[in-house]
Amino acid sequence: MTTWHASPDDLAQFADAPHELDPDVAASLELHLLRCADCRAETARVSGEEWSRASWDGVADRIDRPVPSLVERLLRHLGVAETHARLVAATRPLQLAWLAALAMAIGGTVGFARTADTNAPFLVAAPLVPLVGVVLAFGPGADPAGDAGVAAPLTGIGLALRRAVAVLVATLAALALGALALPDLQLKDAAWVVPALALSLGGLALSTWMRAESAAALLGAVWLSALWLSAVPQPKSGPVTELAPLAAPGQITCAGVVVVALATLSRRRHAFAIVRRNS
Amino acid sequence: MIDPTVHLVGLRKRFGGTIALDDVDLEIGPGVTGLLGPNGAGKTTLLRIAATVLAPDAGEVRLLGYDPRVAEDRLGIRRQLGYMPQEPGFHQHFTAFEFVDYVAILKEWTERKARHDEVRRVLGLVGLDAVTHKRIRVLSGGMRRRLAIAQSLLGAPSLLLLDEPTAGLDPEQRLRFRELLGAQRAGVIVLLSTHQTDDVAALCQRVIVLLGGRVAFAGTPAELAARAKGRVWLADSRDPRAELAWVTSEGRVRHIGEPPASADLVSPTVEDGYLVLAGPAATESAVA
Repeated sequence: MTTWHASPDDLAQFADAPHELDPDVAASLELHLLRCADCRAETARVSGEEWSRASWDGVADRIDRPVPSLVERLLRHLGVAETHARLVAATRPLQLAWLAALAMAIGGTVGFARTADTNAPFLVAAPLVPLVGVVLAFGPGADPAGDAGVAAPLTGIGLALRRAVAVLVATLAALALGALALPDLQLKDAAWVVPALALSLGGLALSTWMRAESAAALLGAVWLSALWLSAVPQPKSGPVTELAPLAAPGQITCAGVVVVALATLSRRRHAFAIVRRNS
Repeated sequence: MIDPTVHLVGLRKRFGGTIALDDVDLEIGPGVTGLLGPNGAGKTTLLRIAATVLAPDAGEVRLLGYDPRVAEDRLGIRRQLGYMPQEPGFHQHFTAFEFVDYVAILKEWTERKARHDEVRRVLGLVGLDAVTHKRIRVLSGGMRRRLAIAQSLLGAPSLLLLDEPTAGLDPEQRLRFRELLGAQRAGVIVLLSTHQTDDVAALCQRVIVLLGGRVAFAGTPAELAARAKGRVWLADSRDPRAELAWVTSEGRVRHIGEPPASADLVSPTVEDGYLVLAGPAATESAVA
């Protein structure tokens, strides 16, 4: 129990401008207020109800403020606004668990490539990785708010593209880092980049007609079939980068797919404003 | 000036071979309207279309004077809409506060302080103030239901669509929910689907019964109850001629249909009216 009480002037100054008080006096008053209900009441009286409410609101807001995820913090460091960073980071392919799985998958593929002394497994699989990310970003259960999120004003093509870009950047960056560990790395080993863009943007465009996972399965099958069909006629096995889908014809075709996909997304942007699955 | 009504004309929706809505005409005004019907009657489809989440195959929809097919109009609707889906897609890693905060951002609450104040307000309305920082994965089913209701109340919407809001709530929570809806400001359109006929009796000024994707009834709860007038009886034993019969908590048998031997005619309830209208298809969900 306290035996003394602070003066009303000190309490008023503590409430109005605590930084102007002598630090020892401020610390002493703070400690005293924790134990003295009379002085707390006096502080509330001299500082006014509004100050008291604002202080408590500030405390409550500090306590309630959601802890930003790693991806959200990174986006905010890159200058993305708080609200946009939250919306983008909430998508499943940017959750830590998926990023960890992505890192393990890429690590495994690179490890296999190093063991087998060929970059073929990486070049075949790499374009499919961003496609899977896009599916997870737009497939069922991708948005934390489900249908309630779809019915909100801030959904649609804008949010879809922001998430797509974030997922693409994250997966492409992870793949690029993985590629650095490939054996006998050459410039032609970057042949996976344009197909990766084509498959993921193509998947996004196709998802305006069909389920995102169906679009991804279709494009994944097309990619693997194209590689297989171009490999069959060859009399002896050569570098995988010489196969048509990864060589110049494939690069040109994939660049065309990117352009068509972007045009389709622009024309069919309304499809992102409603649920595209019939269930 | 905003048209405070929901107009649905000739609405049709099909999922593969299943007809979910078949030529539905409705006009819903301010106040609380209940949507009754057995499972698969089309209630959720109707609410999803009214929430601008799903597009009908045919028919005209006008919500608050806007046409949801037009992008600008759809935005206008969504800015005044509160929607609680039947199965909210919670991400388990969110806390209750984070989830509602996330939806608030989607609803264009960009200023952090105002948004957090609003989140605290709606969580308080549904009695979740004590668990705001608990992860959704540890919340009970009833708490998650209340969380879904809370996000729908963000921004005091003019059109509030609630898909089975009282499912999983205990009696006290249901009472609190009724108080909450009763306190909605005048002019708000509330459309709620439910299996609980006592919710309809207690809350709704109007009730719509959907059967097989069609509107089987639209009127007041008293008018729905009157459908069973002169057809509800209490007897001491079950009569095989009854269209529907079940044992009440008092141990007597409540009959709907022709009078059994030595039975007492009783005043019908909304549930009786609904059962007369829906027949045996409704008993699975309506009679506990």
